[in-house]
Amino acid sequence: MNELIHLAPIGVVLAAALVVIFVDLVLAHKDRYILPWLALTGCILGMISIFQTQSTLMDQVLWFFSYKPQAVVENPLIPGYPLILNGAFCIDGFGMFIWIIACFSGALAILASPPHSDESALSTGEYYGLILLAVAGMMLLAVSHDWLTLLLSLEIMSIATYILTGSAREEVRSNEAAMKYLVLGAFSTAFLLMGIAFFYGAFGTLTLKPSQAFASLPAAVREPREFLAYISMGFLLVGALFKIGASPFHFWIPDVYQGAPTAVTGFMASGVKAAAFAVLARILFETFGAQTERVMWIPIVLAAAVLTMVIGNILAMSQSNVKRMLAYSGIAHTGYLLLAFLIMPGHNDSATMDEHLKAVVFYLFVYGVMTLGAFGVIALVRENGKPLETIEDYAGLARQHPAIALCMSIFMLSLAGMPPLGGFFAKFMIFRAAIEQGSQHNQAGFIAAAVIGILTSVASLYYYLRVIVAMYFSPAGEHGAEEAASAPACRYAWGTTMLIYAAGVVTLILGILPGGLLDWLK
Amino acid sequence: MLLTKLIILPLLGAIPLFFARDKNAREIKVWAFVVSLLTFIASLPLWTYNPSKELYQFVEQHKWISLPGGISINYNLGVDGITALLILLTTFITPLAILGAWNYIQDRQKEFYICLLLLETAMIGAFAATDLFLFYVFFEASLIPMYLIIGVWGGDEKVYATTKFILYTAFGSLLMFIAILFVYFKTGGDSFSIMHLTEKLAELRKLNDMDPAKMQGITKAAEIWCFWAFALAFAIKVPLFPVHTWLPDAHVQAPTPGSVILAAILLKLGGYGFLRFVMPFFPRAMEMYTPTFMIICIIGVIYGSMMAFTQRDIKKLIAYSSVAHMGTCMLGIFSQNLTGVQGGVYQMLNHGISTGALFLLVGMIYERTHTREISNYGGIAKVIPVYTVFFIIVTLSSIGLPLTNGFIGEFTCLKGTFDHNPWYGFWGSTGVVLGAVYMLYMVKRVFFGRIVKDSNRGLADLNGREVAVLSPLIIMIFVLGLMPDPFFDKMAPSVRQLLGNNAQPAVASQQEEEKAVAALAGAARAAQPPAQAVNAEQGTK
Repeated sequence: MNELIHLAPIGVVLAAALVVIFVDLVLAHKDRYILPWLALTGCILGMISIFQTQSTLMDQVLWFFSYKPQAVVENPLIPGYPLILNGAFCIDGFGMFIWIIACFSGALAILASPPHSDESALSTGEYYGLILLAVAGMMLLAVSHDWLTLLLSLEIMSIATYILTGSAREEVRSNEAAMKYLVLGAFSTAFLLMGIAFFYGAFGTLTLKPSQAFASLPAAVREPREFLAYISMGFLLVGALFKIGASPFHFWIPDVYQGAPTAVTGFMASGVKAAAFAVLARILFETFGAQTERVMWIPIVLAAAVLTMVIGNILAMSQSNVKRMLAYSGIAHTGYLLLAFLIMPGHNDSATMDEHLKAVVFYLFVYGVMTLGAFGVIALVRENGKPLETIEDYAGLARQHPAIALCMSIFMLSLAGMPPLGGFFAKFMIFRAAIEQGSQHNQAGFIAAAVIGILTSVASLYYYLRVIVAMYFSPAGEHGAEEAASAPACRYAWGTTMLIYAAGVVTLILGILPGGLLDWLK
Repeated sequence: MLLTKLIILPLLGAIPLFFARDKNAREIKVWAFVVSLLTFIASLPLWTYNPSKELYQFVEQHKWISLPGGISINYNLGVDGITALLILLTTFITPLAILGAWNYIQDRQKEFYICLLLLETAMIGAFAATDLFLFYVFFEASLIPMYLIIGVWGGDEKVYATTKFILYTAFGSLLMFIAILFVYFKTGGDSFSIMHLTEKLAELRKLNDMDPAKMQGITKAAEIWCFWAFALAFAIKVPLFPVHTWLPDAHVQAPTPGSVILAAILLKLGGYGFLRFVMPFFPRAMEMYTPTFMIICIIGVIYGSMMAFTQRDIKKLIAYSSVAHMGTCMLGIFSQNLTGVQGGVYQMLNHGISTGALFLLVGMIYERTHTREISNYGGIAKVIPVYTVFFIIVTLSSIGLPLTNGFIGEFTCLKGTFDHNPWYGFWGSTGVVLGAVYMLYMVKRVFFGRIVKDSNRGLADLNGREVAVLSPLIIMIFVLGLMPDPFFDKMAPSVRQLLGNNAQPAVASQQEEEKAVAALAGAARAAQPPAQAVNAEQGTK
């Protein structure tokens, strides 16, 4: 029982999911507007309970907010953190932060969801229940320390997301996207499972971090098994790269992002991606973090990172649909994030891993805030109840809704990595990780990857600016952009507007004071 | 706290504008003007920079961000003799740009003034930062307001021009960012302080020289790569040939205040960057590529002049003349001796004042006629004599007539270049002749001769506000032209410090060169009477 207390936040979110679904059954139709508020409360309570139950661990979470120049933070992936339930879960600072991101993105996605008055399937209890279930799945995934729990939590998250993707039942695109997502997602899970099978064959255990016993086996026993281990590494890598949407496994992303209801897209781009990165981080740094193994996967990850940055950015340039453009930009950002995983074996590995993980988490957080803000704007901008999604539709938005347009510009410039916005610092931390490694170990490849990353982010400036050009520089087109805020039933759009403002302010603050925020809260 | 005050003041001034209503256009303009004027007044104490004391004055040091891995980024501000002058230039030009385009901006006025004030904050910050990272943040942050200024309030081709502007500059500065990080980690990752990095890089060079095979320190190849990453970013900003092509487009499309600030201040960030970062950080690479850059500058001077000569649009002509003038200015800086660099800095101030004034003047006539084609004018000196006088004074300053600021600047730049290598000096000085050709040819076509268009007969002459805008600029033209000593004195120790980091022994005879500068100033004073006569004569024609 003492161990279960660590998982209390997940319990809170799960309970909220059940409450939402059951309350929906007994509610009169006109009272349904309280459902999203219930769900939102669930997310917020979840977040509060993280801070409550893990107070000792909060120091870990506060890593990037501390002013101490050499804050000594132990590597969260190193033992010493509670492994609970016979090693099924590992409650560490890294997982904690993914929890916060998951709750946060869940809350923002609920705010971005369409108003109750929409009468669509999206405003029912199941919808909010599924969001909360997906959040719970992400939270479980982030702390899983055993291949079986990892697989199960991945499925909890994925299945909820498949359904959410198809939740706009009347829309062909949404159905198509859900189908594609389901098939390709199942496909990638199969890879993961295959990897787990080989893993078990090699190590004879299902824990994520096989004990040192393996290294001490006699060579005759170990060597054939090592081969199995590398096969397993390959399968697991493919599965994980699939989930995060790195090239060459990125093909599902644009269709799914475009087809899914906008709030769900934002949720996938922030929360689901963060959880998938948690899996990747555990596979790369924990399971295969030893020096010899790292040398094997570094070229693969390097190649995937470069390919992903280039493909994501180049394809994004030719998109005319904003959601699709953001999908490709999401692929590009995945590429940048992969750079942080490149660590040459050196003298101080665990400390470096720790630093790089912090860079990843910070990036995921900032990226989540900006993307959800951007998708919030997309969800809001509509004409006669129909969403407007092409870039040209944004013409004149700045004139009619200056504040929304300003926030959208902040998101776009931040995604492009312009200082002094949050995206700049996120990118800075990632690139500095790659360059630090490159300059200390004389690895020209790492520097080259960083240079390619920078060059592609110049290209990305072009397509992010197209949105600003449309909003500010062109006169309102024949359909001047209208947003739901001016429509009669604005209770919900009010929430979305608040979400946009909040995300805008957070992006700005993270840019100007990336360090001071939580320090001040403390 | 002075520098922080200067950075914060325009920013704070911009905040109430967010809540202003569009219909209170007049109040918005007055407010923006007052804020920028207060910033100027607040910046005046910078003139008390004492060159005989420590290098950096008005220093402020605070911790800003500390990231995991021991990265600490500081909010370090300070000015040396060069940046004190450049900040004064910034705060001096901005209120004039606001006042000069009082009626130019009719649409979305409050957003315009917000952009302008934010731009001022970013520019002051970039000059005042003594932390490389902080500099970079301000340097990049200045792009966004300028992007909007050109994009929202620009001419017909504004989207093309502004996209080109931001892509060019962002390309350069992002590459530089990689080099910044590389330099930071190579030097041990302790501090982004510019002084610290300069010292550490010198040590690393020595380390590498002792035993290149050990791969300690910074290898020559790495140094050259970093050098080019920095140099490209600033070369685009200056702009040097052949990466100058964004400038004419941006200038022609930008609204008057945008052009003024772009020409007068933003371009100076490029020259300043070469001076502060490229030359002290990578002296060996700089020495290696000095001929390349000299030739690039000379091509810029000649090519810019020739392009200017063929332009039909006054604004585009001035834009190309900017390319040529900045070429001369950079020649001085690349000559890397005391005279040349001082001349380069001086020429940056001059160019800011003269070209800023020219853009203001073009904007004023454009407000009246809505055309900038030279062929639409002709003979208007008779109709608007006051305007003509102002225009010609500024033109003469721009082509470097003795008595005006341009003369001192160009002369010292070219003197430095001649000291460096007479051939570069020879080719560089063709710019002076060519400048006179295209500027005076333009003046002739616009102001003298027959009145070509009847609609021009009814042109209104300058009103009180416009005279008030131009007068300070004219006064500064003569102040800088007659009394260069205080300015040279202010910057001399700072320039010497920058050159001291340089491997080139060209500064052996510092005192001699100082004497030369002083003698030059004397020569300028001696040249007063005839020049004044010429001036007056031309003005009354």
